[in-house]
Amino acid sequence: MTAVLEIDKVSKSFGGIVALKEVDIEVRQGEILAIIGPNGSGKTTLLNLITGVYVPSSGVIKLGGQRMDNYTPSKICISGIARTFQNVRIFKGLSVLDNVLVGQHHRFTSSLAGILFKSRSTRAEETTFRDEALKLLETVGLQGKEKMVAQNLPYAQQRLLEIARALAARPQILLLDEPAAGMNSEEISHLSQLIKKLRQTGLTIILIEHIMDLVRGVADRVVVLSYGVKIATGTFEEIESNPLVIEAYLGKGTAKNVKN
Amino acid sequence: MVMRKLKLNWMIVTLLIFIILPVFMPNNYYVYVFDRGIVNAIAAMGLVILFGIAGQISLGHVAFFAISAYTSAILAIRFGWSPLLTIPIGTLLSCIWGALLSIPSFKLSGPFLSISTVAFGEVVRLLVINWEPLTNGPYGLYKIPPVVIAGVAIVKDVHWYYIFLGLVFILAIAGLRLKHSYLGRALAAIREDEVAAEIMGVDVRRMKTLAFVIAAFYAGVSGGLYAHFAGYLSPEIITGEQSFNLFSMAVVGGQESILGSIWAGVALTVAPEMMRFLQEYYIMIFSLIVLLVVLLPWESLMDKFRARFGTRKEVKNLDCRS
Repeated sequence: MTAVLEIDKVSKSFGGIVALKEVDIEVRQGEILAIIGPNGSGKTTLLNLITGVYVPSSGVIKLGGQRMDNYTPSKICISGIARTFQNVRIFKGLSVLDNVLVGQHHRFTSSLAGILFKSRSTRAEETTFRDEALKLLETVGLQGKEKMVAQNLPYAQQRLLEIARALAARPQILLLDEPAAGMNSEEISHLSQLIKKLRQTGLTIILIEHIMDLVRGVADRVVVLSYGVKIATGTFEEIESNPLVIEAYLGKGTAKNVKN
Repeated sequence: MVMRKLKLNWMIVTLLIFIILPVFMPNNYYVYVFDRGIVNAIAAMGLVILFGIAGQISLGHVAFFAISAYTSAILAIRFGWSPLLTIPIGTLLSCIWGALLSIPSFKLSGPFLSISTVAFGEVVRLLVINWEPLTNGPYGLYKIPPVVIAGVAIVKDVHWYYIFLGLVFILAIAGLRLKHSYLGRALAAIREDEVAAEIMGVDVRRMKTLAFVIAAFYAGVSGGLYAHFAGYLSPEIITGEQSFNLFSMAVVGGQESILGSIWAGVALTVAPEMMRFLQEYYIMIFSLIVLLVVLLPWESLMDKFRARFGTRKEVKNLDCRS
């Protein structure tokens, strides 16, 4: 298994606050890697570093062997990393279909002249991408909703739309930032099936999640962060019984009382 | 498909109305006022793209208009060049100014961007007033040569009317095509959520520059034509009030509606003339009308209208904000 994404001794501090301290993570091709940790442990900061929203204070991030920690967010997306957001950030005023089409933006090649004169290739491109976008909506389970204004979708479906929009960029790696937050159990099981389905297409997925049932169900490996430090890596079963992890979640002195 | 037909129909209806309109105008003065209305509409259309679609504010928009108008007029007067050459040069200069003005928009937004665009507009106005050797300052430029097409000088207001009308529709079609392309969607995405757009692979800076350049292009075309249509230019056309008028036109026509800007541009230019008899009360009445247009819940009124007359309701869904 080769590493697609290497995070090498990455640190990030905001003023005096150290959000991440020398974190090393290696993401392997085609795996589902879950990143867990108590609130404020630096999970979202890590995601923001990977997607170029923040620049690391020190350390190196490599995508397929290529250093990319100084890329702009749009260039990182074009290089093959797409993400969703912890608090949904769909384009509220656009239609559901247009949201997905924006995800495909960087793959369009028509020139301005082509658009103004409505050349045959421009029209063909538009149709191709529209069809693909409709298929993506079907994949995430939003078929038939493409004409709705995005903000009128129920919350859980807005999250699915974000996933469809991210997939539209045709990423190698998909980052999901707490995709199940605010979902009921039925919606979570739908999401879990979706994530498994996506893995089968060869997509590498990094999942940040608090809902352990989802993590247990889909993750190949789990990385645990606490106060900006990586404290454990391994399969869910290994993590679950790791005293350091239990301590991070429940506090000192609890580890010996917790069985399993 | 339904949407395309509907859009096309609105377009044709608008076009037809404007084509026969001069027949009902009692005298030449009205034609002149409508000419000015369509010129304003062209500039307002650029603002619809910049503000309505891309969400970037420009409160000094008349500066683009003035740069192109003065450039074209000065070149035509000094060097005797044909307006057919000087108008494109003026427009080009306006576009360059637009590209420059997009730079502050990379970092600024909301009120801060508004103020910086007002300042840019003022810079142009003061330049025009004080650079007397070039612009003739407050006295203005006179005897700007008319446009000559195939040996015929275009001086009649009716001729201009149809030239402007043709142009405004070509520009409207261009604007609509842009709006419904991936570029237009990216602009709308920037309006909705800049950070998310950037993360979805939209080069926000480039797209903002594009939006400013397009808006400057529309204003530039409008200004260049205006110079040769009016025959004289004075700093009075570059006041902040005029910028504000353009902005009102872009908003009143429906923020994202390209066709709406044609109606609003013409209406907001003609209405003050029609209300001359109200004298100083006109501003009050005029503001009231603008307020009503902006504040009334048109969406739901239209829905009621459709429900009553059985028009297909899905149209509204199809035509959502993109």
